[in-house]
Amino acid sequence: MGKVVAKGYPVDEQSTHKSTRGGAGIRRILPGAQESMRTSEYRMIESVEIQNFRAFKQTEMRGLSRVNVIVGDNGVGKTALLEALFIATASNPEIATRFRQWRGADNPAATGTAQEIYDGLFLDLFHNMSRDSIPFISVTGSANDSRSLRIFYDVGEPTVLPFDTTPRHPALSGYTPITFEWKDAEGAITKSTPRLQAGGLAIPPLPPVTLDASFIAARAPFPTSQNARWFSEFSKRGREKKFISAMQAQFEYIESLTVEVDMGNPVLFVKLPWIESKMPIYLASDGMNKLMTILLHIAHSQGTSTFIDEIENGVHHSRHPRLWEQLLTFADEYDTQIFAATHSWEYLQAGAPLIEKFPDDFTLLQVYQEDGISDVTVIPGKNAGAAIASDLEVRVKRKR
Amino acid sequence: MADVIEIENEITILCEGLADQNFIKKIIEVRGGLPPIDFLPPSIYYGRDRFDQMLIALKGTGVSFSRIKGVLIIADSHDEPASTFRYIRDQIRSVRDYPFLRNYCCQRRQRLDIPA
Repeated sequence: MGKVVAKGYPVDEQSTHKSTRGGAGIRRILPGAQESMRTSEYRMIESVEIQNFRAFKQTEMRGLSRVNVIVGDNGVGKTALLEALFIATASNPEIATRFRQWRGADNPAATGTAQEIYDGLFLDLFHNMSRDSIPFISVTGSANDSRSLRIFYDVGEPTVLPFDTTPRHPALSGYTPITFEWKDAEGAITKSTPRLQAGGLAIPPLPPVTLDASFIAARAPFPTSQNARWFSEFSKRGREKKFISAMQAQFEYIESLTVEVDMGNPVLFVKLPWIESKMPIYLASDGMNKLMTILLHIAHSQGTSTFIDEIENGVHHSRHPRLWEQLLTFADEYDTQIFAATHSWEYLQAGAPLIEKFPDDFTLLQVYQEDGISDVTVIPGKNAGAAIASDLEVRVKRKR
Repeated sequence: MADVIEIENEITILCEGLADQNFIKKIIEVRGGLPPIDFLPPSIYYGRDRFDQMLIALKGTGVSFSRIKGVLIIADSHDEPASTFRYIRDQIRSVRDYPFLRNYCCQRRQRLDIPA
């Protein structure tokens, strides 16, 4: 056997990676894919910078693509990465309070000083829970829609005490509030400073967002009424068929999907052949409900992003390959960028053929932690697809 | 489902196939004294034509790849070391993510009946 000696020879080329935009051939190839609804260039986040957000000290990501799959060990910051992107993309501090609920915090009556209550709501967003570590998240978009978010204790903001007739809660004394400051590509600033009141947290009104990013948390219940309302909106515009087709592609026995009123609320109902009456989708199947939730979120967040934590949960492994196809098809049709976290090797393997077929449409984000600091490695779809297809481990473990 | 291969070490050796891989592993085992080494090929890419795919896949391990200090490619020269070198080198070059060698180095043939 010949031997090639690999030492001491000149290097001709250094490692380079140029990010690419989404491929154009998907709609022609994937089953069920239809003509794109987009009329302009695809919008998406191309790069991200995160400073001092939760366990992230300083992280930059470039070369993001249409579908970004996040992997990593427990507790390294996968969910925090989704949260950072979501709160920077959206425009409301209320989102930070949702993070607490999604992570499993219950809402007992708050006690302690005003500052303790306030810190309990927001300080966990700061790196090392240090007030001096000011979170900053900057996303660079492809359609002049770049924006940044800075979160800081605003010593310039006076404490406002509620002016009402009820006895004041003793805790509502002086405290330093936190300001959320978003800046868009033109430099326009939107600020919001939530305040404690006797009845709870008061968030000043903010301009409505034109592009509504969405988040599917790993632990939160699926939004039954919201799903039904969104489906109804698409149905009114005659666009419900693609959802029904996608659901029937996964669950061929579904006869119909409709919005019905259940206990006074709109609920998605499904008709199954073995039961005479329709039934709420959440009773029919958790996986069915999960898939419908994902598709509706992608469609609702047209022109912006959908963030999905633990995407594989509740979905049988045999349905994973088609789920990958549907993610890409819906993302393409609705001009929505997807960030999805997963622990599942089965799920990754199911996506490998599609990633290898459309490498420019996929990116793998490896979240890892060293010495308690989270960081991200961006792996282009070409490399990620080949690695997963080769059974090479991409879900990096925590390193102490 | 095949076992997942975790790249854990600083050296990775790419072979043409599992037979070569086992042969090299045995040599290393007998010789001893070498640091721990990871081996490819994995399950789907094998053969002297697929080193480029192995290299693309190896880079896809991300953080594990960043810890690698050296990749050794072992290919059968078929008594044509120069052309084999060029063939493998062109695969490395086509991947674009790795440095590669301009020239090759091989042991001079000592006897006509024994290949170099």
